[in-house]
Amino acid sequence: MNGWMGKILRVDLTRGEMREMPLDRDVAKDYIGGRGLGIYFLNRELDPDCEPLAPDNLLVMATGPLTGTGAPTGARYMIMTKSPLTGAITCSNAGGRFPTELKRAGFDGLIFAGQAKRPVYLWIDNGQAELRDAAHLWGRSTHSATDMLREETDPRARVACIGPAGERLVRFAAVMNDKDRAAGRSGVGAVMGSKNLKAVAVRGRGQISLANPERFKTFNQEILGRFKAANKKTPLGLTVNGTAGVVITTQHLGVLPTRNWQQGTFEGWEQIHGETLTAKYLVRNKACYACPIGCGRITRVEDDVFGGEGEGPEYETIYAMGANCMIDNLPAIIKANYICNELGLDTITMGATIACAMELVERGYLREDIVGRPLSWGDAAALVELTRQTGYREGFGDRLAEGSYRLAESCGHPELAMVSKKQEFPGYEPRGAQAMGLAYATSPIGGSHMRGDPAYFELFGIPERVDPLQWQGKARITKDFQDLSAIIDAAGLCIFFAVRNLAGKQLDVPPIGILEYLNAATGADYALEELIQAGERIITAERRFLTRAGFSRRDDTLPERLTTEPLPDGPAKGMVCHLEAMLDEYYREQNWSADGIPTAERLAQLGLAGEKDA
Amino acid sequence: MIVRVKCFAGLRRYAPAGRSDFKVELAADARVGQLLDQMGVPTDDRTFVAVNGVRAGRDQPLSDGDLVVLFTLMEGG
Repeated sequence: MNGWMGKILRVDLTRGEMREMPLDRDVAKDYIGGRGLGIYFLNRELDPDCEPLAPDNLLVMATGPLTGTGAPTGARYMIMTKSPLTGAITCSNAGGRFPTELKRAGFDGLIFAGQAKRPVYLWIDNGQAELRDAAHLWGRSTHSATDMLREETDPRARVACIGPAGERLVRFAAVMNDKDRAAGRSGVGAVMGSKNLKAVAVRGRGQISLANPERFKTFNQEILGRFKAANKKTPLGLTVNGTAGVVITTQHLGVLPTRNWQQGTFEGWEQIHGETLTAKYLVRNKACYACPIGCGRITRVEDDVFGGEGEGPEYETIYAMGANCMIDNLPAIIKANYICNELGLDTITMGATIACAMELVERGYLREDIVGRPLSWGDAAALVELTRQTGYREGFGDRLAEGSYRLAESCGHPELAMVSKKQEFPGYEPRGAQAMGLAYATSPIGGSHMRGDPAYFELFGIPERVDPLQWQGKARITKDFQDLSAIIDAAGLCIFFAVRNLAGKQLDVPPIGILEYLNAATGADYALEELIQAGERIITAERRFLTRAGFSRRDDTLPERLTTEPLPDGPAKGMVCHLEAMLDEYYREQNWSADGIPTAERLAQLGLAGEKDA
Repeated sequence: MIVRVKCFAGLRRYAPAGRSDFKVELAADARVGQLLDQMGVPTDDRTFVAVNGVRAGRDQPLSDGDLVVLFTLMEGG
C-alpha cells in the first residue's frame, strides 16, 4: 500500500501475545485512518457497555495516511478508547515525532486489548515488537521514563508514555509523547494505566511510500510556496505568539471564560496574553514533524517560587488555569503546565476542575478544611500545589482527580461543573459564540473544540466571519466543520494548517487540498464527494457507538448556566446559548432522529448498516 | 485631542519603533477611521478595533483620553 503502511499490530496484554493484521484497502479508503480507523475498530470489537478501566476496554493508537509523508503538519495520531471521564469515546490527538516514527516502524496503528499482570512497555524496533518489563519505570515522570527508555532501547527512539497520573487512574490523565506533546483529553492515560502499559517506544527506519511522488512533490511545493509568501507579508499569529495569542481575541469578543464561566472577560487578560508570554518567557518555538508553523513554545521562568523550563502553555491552559480561576500570574500557570506535562495530566480539565472547586468553596458547598488549604479566586500557589496533588492523588487531589462533574456532584451541586458529557469545556463561551455551544453539546467526546471548531468562523473570521451571537443557520455550518475536522484528524494533519490552507474558502469548507494530498499519497483515487462522505461516515460511526452505549439527545447538553443565565459582561452581555433550537436543526442536517439517533436510512447511505449490533 | 493607542500582534509594526503603547494627536472631531488612516493601518474583515474595551467601527467618534486597542483576530486553541 502507499500512504498507508498496510499493517496494524494487535497486542493482547493479558496473554502477552502480539499479532500483525493486514489493513484492508477498502476499510482504509472508507475510514481514511487515525480517528476513522479508531472508530472502525471500536465499533467492531468493543462492547459499548464495557467498563472503561476494566481489561475488556480496547485502546487504539492510529496514524493517518499523510502522517510522516512530508505533507505540512502530517505528524499526528489519534488515541481512541472508551473514556473513564465521560463513558463515551475518546479521540485524543497529538503531534510531535512519535506518530511518524510508528509509521516508519511499519505500522498504521496499534490496538491494545486486555491487561498485563505487571507493568510493561511495548518496544517496536523497525517492525519487531516485544513486550518488556516496566517495573523500573513505574512511578517515573513522563520525562524521566522517556529518558530511561531511550537509554535502554535506542537513543533515537520516540516514546509515548503515561506519568504517575495515568498509573493512578486519574480520570483525565494524558498520554504524553516526545515528553511534552499531549493526547490530553478524556483520560486516555488512565486507560493505559489500567492496562499496566507504561509506554510505547518506537524506532523506525523504513520509508513511507507514495503512490505518485512527483504529483505529491509538485503540490507540496505549491502549497508551501503559497504559505511562505503569505506569511512573509504578515507573520502568522500562531508562529509569533503560539495559541496563547488568542487571549486578546476571546477577551475582546467577550468569550474568555472567567470565574468558572460566570463572566466572559477577565480584567487581568494582558498579564496572561501570548504577547506577554513571548516577551518574558519564550526561549524558542517548537514545531512538530513537517510543520511550517511551529506554534509550540519552549519557555523558561526565572522565579524563586514558580521557576522552571519546559513546554507551554497553550491558550486552553491559560484560559483554564488563568482566567477561569481568576489567576493573572503567568509564571504560576506555566509551572502548573510543566507539572501536568511531567505527571501526565490534561491541563484543560485540571484548570477547570480547580475553578469549579473555587466556586464550590465560595458558595459554601465545599469546606476549606476538606481541601486542606485556603482556596479562593486568584490563588496562584493553590493552582500549582493542587495540580501536583492531583497527579499523585494525594490529599484533596484524590477528589480533583475525578474531574469537575464528580467533584461538584459529590458536593450536591453538579450544575456548577462546566461540562458536556462530564468533560470540561475549552475556552470559548457559547453565550457569545452560539455555534460553539452546539459543537460542545454534540461532540462525541463531550466538551471539546477539536471535534469541529466553529470558533473559526464565529470568532476568528476563517474562512469568513459569521455573527457569533446569531443562532439561526448555525447547524449546517457546524456540521460541515465537524466533517472537515474528521477528515483532518483521520488524514493525520493538524487543524491549524489544514483549515486555512487545504480547504475551500467557503463556509462549507470543502477539503480540496486534503483531497489532492491523499490521492497523491495513497493512489486511492478519492472523488471530492467520497472524501466528504468519509468525514460524515466517521461522525455517524462515532455517534453509533455512543447511541449503543446509551447516549442520546438527553446527553447533548450544556450546563444551565450557559442556557439560562444571561452573560453579565462584555460584548455578549445579556445573551444565553440557544442550544435546543440549534439541536433540532442539527439532527435534521445529520439525518439523525429528533432524539439524536442515526436513522436506518443514514446508516445505509454511509455503509454502516451492516455493522454488528452489540 | 490625544488618544492612547495599543497595537498587538501583526499590527505592532504600525506603532512607533519599538513601542506598542503610545499616544496619537488627532483633530478635535476625529473618528476611528481617521486614526487608522493617519497611522497607515490597512483594515479588513479580521482587523479588530476596540475603543475603551468595546468594538468600534470606522465611524465611531473619539474623545480625548480614549484607549484604542488594535489587533488582528487570530485562530488557535
